[in-house]
Amino acid sequence: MSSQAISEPTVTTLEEMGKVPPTRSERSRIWRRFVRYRPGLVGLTVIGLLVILAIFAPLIAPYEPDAVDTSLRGASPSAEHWLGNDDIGRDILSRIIYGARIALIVGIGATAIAVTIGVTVGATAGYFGGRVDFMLSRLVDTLMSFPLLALLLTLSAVFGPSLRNVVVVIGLTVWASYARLVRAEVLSLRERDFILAARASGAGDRRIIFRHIVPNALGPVIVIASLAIGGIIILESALSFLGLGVSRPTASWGTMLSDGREFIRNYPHIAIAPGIAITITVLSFNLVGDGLRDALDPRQKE
Amino acid sequence: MSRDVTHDANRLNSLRELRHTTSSRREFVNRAAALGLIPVLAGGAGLAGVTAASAKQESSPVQGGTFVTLGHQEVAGLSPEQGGPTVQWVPISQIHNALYQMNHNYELVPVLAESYEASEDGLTYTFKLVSGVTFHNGDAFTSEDVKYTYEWIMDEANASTRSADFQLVDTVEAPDESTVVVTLTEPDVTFMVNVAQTFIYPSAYHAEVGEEEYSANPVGTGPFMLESWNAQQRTVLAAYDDHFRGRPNFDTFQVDIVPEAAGRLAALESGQADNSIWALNAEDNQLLVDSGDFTVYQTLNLATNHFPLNNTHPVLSDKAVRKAMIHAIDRQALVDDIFLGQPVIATSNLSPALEKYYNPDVTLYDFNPDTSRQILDEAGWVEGDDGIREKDGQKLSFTCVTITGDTQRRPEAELAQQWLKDVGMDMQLQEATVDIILDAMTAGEMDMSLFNWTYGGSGGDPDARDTLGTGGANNFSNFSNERVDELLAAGVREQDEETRIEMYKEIQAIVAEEVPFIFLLVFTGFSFYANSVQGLPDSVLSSDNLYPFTYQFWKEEA
Amino acid sequence: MLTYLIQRLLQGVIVIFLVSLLTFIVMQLAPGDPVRLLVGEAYVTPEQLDAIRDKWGLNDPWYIQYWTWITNLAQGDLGTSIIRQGVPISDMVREAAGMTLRLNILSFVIATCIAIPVGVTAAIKRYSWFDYGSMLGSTLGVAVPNYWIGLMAIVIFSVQLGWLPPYGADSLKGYILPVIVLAIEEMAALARLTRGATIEVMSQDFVTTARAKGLAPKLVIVRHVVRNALLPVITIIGYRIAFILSGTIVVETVFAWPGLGRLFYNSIQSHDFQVVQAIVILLTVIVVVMNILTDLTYAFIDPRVRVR
Repeated sequence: MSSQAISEPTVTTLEEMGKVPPTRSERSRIWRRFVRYRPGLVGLTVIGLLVILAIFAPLIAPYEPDAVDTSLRGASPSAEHWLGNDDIGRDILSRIIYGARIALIVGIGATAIAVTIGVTVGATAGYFGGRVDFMLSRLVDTLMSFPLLALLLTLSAVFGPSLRNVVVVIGLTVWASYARLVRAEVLSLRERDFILAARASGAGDRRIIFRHIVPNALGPVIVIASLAIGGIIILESALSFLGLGVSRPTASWGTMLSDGREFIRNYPHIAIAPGIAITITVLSFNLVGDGLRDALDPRQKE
Repeated sequence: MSRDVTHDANRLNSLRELRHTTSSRREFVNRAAALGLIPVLAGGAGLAGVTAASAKQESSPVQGGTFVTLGHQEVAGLSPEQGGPTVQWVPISQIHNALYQMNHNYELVPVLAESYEASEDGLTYTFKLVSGVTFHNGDAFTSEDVKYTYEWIMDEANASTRSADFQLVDTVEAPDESTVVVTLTEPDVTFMVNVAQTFIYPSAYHAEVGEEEYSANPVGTGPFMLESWNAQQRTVLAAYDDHFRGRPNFDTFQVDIVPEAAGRLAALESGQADNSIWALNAEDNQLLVDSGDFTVYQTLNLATNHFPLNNTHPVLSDKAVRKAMIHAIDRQALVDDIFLGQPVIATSNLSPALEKYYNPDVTLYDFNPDTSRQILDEAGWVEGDDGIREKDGQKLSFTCVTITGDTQRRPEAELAQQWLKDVGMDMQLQEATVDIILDAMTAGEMDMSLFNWTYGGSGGDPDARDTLGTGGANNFSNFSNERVDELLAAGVREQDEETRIEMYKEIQAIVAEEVPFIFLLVFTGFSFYANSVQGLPDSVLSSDNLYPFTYQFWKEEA
Repeated sequence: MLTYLIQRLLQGVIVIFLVSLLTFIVMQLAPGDPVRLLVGEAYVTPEQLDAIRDKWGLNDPWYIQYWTWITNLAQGDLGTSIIRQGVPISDMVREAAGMTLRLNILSFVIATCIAIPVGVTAAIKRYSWFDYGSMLGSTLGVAVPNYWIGLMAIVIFSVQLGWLPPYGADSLKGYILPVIVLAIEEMAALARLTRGATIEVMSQDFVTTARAKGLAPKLVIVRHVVRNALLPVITIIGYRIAFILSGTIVVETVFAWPGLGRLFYNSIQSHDFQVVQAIVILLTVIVVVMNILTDLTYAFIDPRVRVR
């Protein structure tokens, strides 16, 4: 399932984008283009709301997310509990609100790890070339050949389920596509004039890579990352389904959905609420990604 | 020395659940214990002893049709060696027979043997075999097959999973074709129980193909023989026309593997399946009972649903902590709200199902957070800034590891976590597979877990040396109590029944007082048979033990 | 060309070796005890447990185990599953892979037939209602966890309506639900991809030139746009096919499908490393081969792409 959502962007047509370091006016032009794409704007708004929910969860949530009341097992939505209660009587709405935190932490955290590793490896391979490139490229090949969910399952089994481990494990498995992308970018940038100029002026390798090359390759990386966050949120729910998700009692949408499937006949609302939350969030990230892709495309006309 | 994990209401939804069925020596033993000890059709007293809610109209047996039952995990192999997980044991028990077998009312009934005789000293067992029995490949069944099977299990080179059952066996002789003589090194009252669970191999065939090949192509004397088998999907058994007790009524016995509970429920509701080996959640049970489409057997488990606690843990070794825990956990709420009144509250190590030995007059613990706090205060555990109690710099904190994917019991742990938090205890939750948990708990490397296990019941008595005795192989809580050890040792030697009952009642009293583990509930198992299935008994004490009798059932014509 | 192929194959072999070694080490690190599972609840002393472990070579150090495994592999022997004795691993994996492939090919064909026309149309009519509608739909398809759709489908179509069986890989009806659930997701991803690729191609010079030359718009699209837009789509199909095998674990579990994903998951859970290794190797080989094939196809479809 989710492997696809993540592998997808690797082979899109983004490589040509964002070649030039964005200047201030450039940025505002990108923003203007982005805004023009309504769905992207809607997505961004939803994500903004999610961030607010996540940050102010204790203020917004009507109940403690872990507070139990067994007499409310599977209670249907009511005036007191807008989304009803789960199988041990916790307030589903409150858990959805707190779950936004986990979704964002997992989605953004894992992506950040993946981007960091991927960009570093890709830039190093592309910049140095030769043997370094060969070794790193085989590593990337290996990782990309390894079925994603399979690798995740194996790693989760090793580390055991917890929020931190889920973030790290996902981050460690999905970086290969960034590495491949950045490597290609770097290969094409390496011989450009401004790099040659920087080298001539005595800048060290590290400085050239991180000051000059990486910022230029970031455009497509950002697009892919924003699309991948959604995929990772779904991946987390798949891990939960297989019993390897975020540990309890943490309110994670994936775990809530996975626990709710047991009661899909008797208390369907337990699974429906997190299902919708996941869908809306993933949708929003994808829309933003689409918008960014169009906005960063230099061939787009104003 | 008893174990048995879970009856069906409790799902160890792990890859391979621990066996919780007849094929386990312990379980057999338990059932032997229950035999004659539980008044048949106990009729309730709230114990839900046996109920068959049925809409049966008996018809006369009809030949034909397929009996479809459901498992939740793959059937990895069909050799008796692999009879551990129930889902596997069910088809294995259709293909094979043992000399004797324990029936659904815990009665020992002859199968491949006509009779047996035990010598005065209890060291020699002589079996008279049924004649005219053939294996599915046409080979005649003789005493050689019994001798071969028993000796194969005893042979260390084979590293059999059942070798412990034959530890006390000295020799197996086959003086003539229809006689088998087994000599023991010391008397063993559970020997017949072992016999009853040891399915017989066809000696020539098994020796020829070897165990590995055999597990894919088993050949037995049972009413059904293997037709096709896909571990993850389906096991199809066909009626064996020459079965010595007569051809089974069903043409086909089929086990379908459906991992998702929702899928199993849907299959039962839609009529795609007639029965499910693996159980459902409380609401689903109720749904099926209410539908009126099924004959339902409800049986109280022998296993106790419990939190084993590491009694050597710096915090959990404090009896006050353990008592405070049991006072803080609302077991009545678990019964009423979470499991819809289906289980009963456990009072000590024994299930009330073991009526004769069950001791209701033990220290009881009500749900009372105030009592719990008071106990902790008195023991010197004082609340820290973070709301967690501590004593001598030691936080009142521990980790409970539940079985991966154990949807049935996980809520108990999540609830306990909140209830314990209320009184200032910090219980973390983790998940691991069942093999890891059992190994780590016995080794004292894990703080706490959550599963079901039988703490008592051996050879007609509630012996629990391996679970409660110091250093016992399945002493998950690392419990060690001198008096209990004494009683356990004396209990297996004591001849006078009244005295023995008192001994085991005392053990329960001590366990209740010491709280080596948090005994939560005793579940009720639900077993469903579609109304079209006929020939079912009116009452059942063990629904698992009913499977070997499927050959007698039939389906009314559609 | 030939040198290139040999080079790629060699690289592939290295990758396969690394993957197998990595899997082996990871499996060693993961806690678990297949013997305990094998024995189940039978009463066994620690010595007897150890004897069984010895029998399966589990007491050897990992590099010895790996060596045994890889030398056996070199002779074409995948070993014996500890949990599932009796059936050769190769048969087990082949059978499961067949079931998974069948499911995936069907859903993939359905997905492709719908997604590519939708994607192209959406690109041509960019920013139209069709574009927004189909992209919203396909984004939704990617965004909904597929097991949720699957369970809902079981409840609605098997229980409420009684039209389709909740499981059953042996009847045609049993295919319908899992195939559709998988196809929804495939479709969604492919449609988005096709749209992106088509837009990309449309903005390129040669299309503009073709248009300028006065070629009919339809002809331009069929002759130039679609053909070129297919390149990245084919690339992704190559990747997909590999991911597909493992990507269906969840759907296979929901619909009780006896496929490779479930076999893999079960083997990991039961620490049955022989089976895990076999599946991982199979998947890696497929990916490596698919990658090479994809490159070749790429060169074949687009003569401008020169294979170095």
